[in-house]
Amino acid sequence: MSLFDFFKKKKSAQKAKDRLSVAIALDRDSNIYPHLDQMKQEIMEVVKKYSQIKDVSITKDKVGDKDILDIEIVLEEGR
Amino acid sequence: MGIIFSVISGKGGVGKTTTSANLAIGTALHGKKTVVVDFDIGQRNLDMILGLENRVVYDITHVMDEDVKLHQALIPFKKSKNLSFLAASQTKDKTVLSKEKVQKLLEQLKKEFDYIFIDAPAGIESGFEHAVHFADAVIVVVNPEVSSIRDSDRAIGIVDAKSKKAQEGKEVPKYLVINRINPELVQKGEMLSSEDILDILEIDLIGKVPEDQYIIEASNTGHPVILNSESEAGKAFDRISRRLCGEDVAFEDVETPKKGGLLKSLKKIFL
Repeated sequence: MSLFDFFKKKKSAQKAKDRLSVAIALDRDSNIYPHLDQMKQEIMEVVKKYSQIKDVSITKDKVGDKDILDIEIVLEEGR
Repeated sequence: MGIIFSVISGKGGVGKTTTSANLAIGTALHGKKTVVVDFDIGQRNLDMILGLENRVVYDITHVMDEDVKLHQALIPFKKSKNLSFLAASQTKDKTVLSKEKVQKLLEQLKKEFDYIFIDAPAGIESGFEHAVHFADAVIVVVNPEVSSIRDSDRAIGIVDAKSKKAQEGKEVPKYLVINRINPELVQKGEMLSSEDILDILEIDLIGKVPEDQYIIEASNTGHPVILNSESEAGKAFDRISRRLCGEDVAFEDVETPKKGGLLKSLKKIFL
């Protein structure tokens, strides 16, 4: 491996580490919240039923050692 | 009362049985009264690794079903009077294990031994939960390779969710053994380093074992590698055994290719 190659491409160990970090983070989440996807779906349906909405976004954040489920509902103007 | 170590991995073929055998021999040689139990029902490989395959008359299911007494099924290891071995059943029927039977067996073993090593089936296999339920600590074996690391994280998840200790709200101590490290590849950046793996898995390291030509010879002959003083892997397993016995053993650098010579000796003196 030449010096030029060194700058050109990331070593496979680094790639492995990047990919593993993401995959394992997702695995751990789906273990802790196995119903998260379904819950998102149902919350959307309830909100849609009772309001005119532009957008709903549900995200999970980590603040310190606490998980926070963040639901943002953007309402249509004039209602 | 003895301590139960379950030796686990996410997937098969990472060296779990080799690790169980060598750490059991190592701790026995360092004075602990040790038993190593093959819990991989239907597979039965530990007897081959230990070189005891011709000695198996009764196995774990005979004891659990109370067909024979525990001491009739325990096989002594010739090289150390401190070590006994309990074989897995070769039946394909994995439903032979029940939590009550496993508990009863392990309680008997805890009375008689200081250290109990359970060679667990891989995390994806049925029977895994039985092998980790009563663990006082787990030894996680991984290779520096993506599928092994990812699957081991899942196996750790099962331990944290399903083991007795975890259900009682206690932490199960987890110790990581990184097996089959190829120092040349780590240096080239083509193999995950132990540091990378620890960043990802976030558990305590207890040992790094380099890839070693003697491992195959050891399993071919049924003469475990820890008994071979030439072998780097054998030396690594001995260091881990001593750590398990409470000795403070420095972590050897197994990720730099061995070249020997003056520079290395000087480094050893100054670092």
